[in-house]
Amino acid sequence: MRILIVEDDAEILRLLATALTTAGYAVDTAGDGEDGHHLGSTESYDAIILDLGLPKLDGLSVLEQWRKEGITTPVLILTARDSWTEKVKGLRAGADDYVAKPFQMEEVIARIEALIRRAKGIVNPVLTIGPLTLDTAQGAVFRDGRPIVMTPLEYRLTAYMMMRHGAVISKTEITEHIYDQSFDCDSNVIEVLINRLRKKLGAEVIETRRGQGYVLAL
Amino acid sequence: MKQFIGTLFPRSLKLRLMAAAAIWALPVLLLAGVLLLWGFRTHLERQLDAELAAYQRELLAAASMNAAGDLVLDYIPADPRFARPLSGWYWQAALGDRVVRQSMSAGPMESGGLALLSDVRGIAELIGPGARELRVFRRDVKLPGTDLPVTVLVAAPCDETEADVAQFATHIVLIFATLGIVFLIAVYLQVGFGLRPLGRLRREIASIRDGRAENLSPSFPNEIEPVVEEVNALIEHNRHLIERARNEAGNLAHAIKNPLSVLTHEIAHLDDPRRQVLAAQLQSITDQVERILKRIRAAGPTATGHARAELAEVADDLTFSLGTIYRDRNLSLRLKIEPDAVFAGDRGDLVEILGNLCDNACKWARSCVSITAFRREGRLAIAIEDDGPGIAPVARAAVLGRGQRLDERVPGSGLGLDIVREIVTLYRGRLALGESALGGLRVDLDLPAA
Repeated sequence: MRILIVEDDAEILRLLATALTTAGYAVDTAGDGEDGHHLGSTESYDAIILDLGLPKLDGLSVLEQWRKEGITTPVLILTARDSWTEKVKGLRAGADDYVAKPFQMEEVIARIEALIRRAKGIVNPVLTIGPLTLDTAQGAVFRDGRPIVMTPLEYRLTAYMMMRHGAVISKTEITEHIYDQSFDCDSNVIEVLINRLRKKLGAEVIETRRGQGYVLAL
Repeated sequence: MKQFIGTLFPRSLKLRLMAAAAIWALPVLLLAGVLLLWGFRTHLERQLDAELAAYQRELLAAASMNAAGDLVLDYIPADPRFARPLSGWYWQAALGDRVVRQSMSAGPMESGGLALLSDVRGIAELIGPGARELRVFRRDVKLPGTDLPVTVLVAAPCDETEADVAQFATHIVLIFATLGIVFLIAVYLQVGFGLRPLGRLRREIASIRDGRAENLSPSFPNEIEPVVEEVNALIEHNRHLIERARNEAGNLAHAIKNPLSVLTHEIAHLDDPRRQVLAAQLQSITDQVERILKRIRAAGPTATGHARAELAEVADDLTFSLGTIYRDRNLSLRLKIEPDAVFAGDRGDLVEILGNLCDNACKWARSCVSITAFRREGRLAIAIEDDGPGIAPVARAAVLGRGQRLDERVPGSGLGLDIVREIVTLYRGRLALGESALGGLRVDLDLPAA
């Protein structure tokens, strides 16, 4: 899962990035509205955290532009402006959720998870496919009820594939959704990662479609 | 003294102008009455004097000396008043000091004769027979054939004149009293007409407060125009101040909330005993800051001039927003809003009131939240209901208190209800908690309608 954070306060940005990375997300950041808009328009994210009071281009305009461009990525507004008038404005502009500062990190993470699940059409925070169970609230994967120890990257890929269950996922899509921007795309790295997952989940779980990508075969 | 002037010039402008008009008009009417009366009396006296003089001339013309050297009158005035005894009308003719002849009204001639009524030449007023006041005209002349002066005296009663004057005075009082009343009514109507723009001014100011107008219209008379300009300037100034305060509040919010977020996060990672103390302190700071910011942001009545918000529009915004926030809960949000439900106040304040209340309702509702709003006797009645667990009657007063939360498990700072109550109080409205027919909490709002 890959997330964009657009926030001008460096300290808040650092905290959010650290917490979300720990929770298993690939995180990109932008410090102003223009950068944020550019990243959101050109990269593929599973969710975006957007501040409203941004330099260069304010958050509301950024959001409106994205929606006009047809970008439907779920957006959580995280702002100091906590009046209901502003909440209404933000939600009318196309935001999917609104959290006022000062905020609790757990709440932001829980809401981001809920947004991503909802965008993928999954209602329950616990997703079970065959012997595999994904608990997004705990950030854990179970096989036959037993937890599987995973690195954040492995968890992200498992979670992404389970949420896109049934679809063929290309290497590019994987790169886009589990790595942050700084990742230098190399298809060998994806293959190594898939092999590691097969060892942990069972070789039969991930099927390779030549020339297309991978599919969760459950 | 001040109190006396206060009574003399009451606080009502109308009464003040009427009193001022009465203060000069009543003495003028009184003086006019006195002068008229004086003129009338003088006129009557002159007329009486002329009459006396005429009778005297008649008597003198009739007087002559006979061969015996006696004064004789060839004829006497025929006026019957001179014949009626003690009528007050008398005449006398005397030669030297001896009355030779007199009117029958003055009584029969006795031996030795009657004394002359007056010893003053010309006009005199004196008490005559029967203790009546008389106006007497006496004249002494020389007649050929005698060395003694011949005196002719005519008298008339004063009380007839007095009676005429008294009657005239009664008429004057009646006429002038009527005049005075008509005058006061005219002044009252005139003052009312003159002060009409003030009534319009009052209505226009009221309509600004109700949110039907933004400022006063420029079409007032020259005398009131400076006031109108000042009021408009004041409204503009007020609006500017509110705007600035809100901006400052926004800036302050932005400046303070990021550090608070960082602190909250850092404290969460401390060791247990210190964490609890610091977290509690930080929460208290956060609550205080939020309370103050929200209070600054609340505009209150008349703050922004054109204060008017359509309930239907605001409710639509809120159901959209809450529908988005609580998308996963599949809540049914029912609206029953009359088209004439319009709030006389700042839109932001209404959104804040309803936003907080509906958000609470959504947090607790099992499946549905209902918002009803209608106009009742010039006020706005709004009810927000949910089918959640509700609040026990004993606990209702407590939740309206500062930052009180009955259940810490449902997220929210607990500031919602008390800030709502503060804004409602700004508009002199009322907030009441009760039990909903849906099974949960019912919040009733009473707010001014536009």
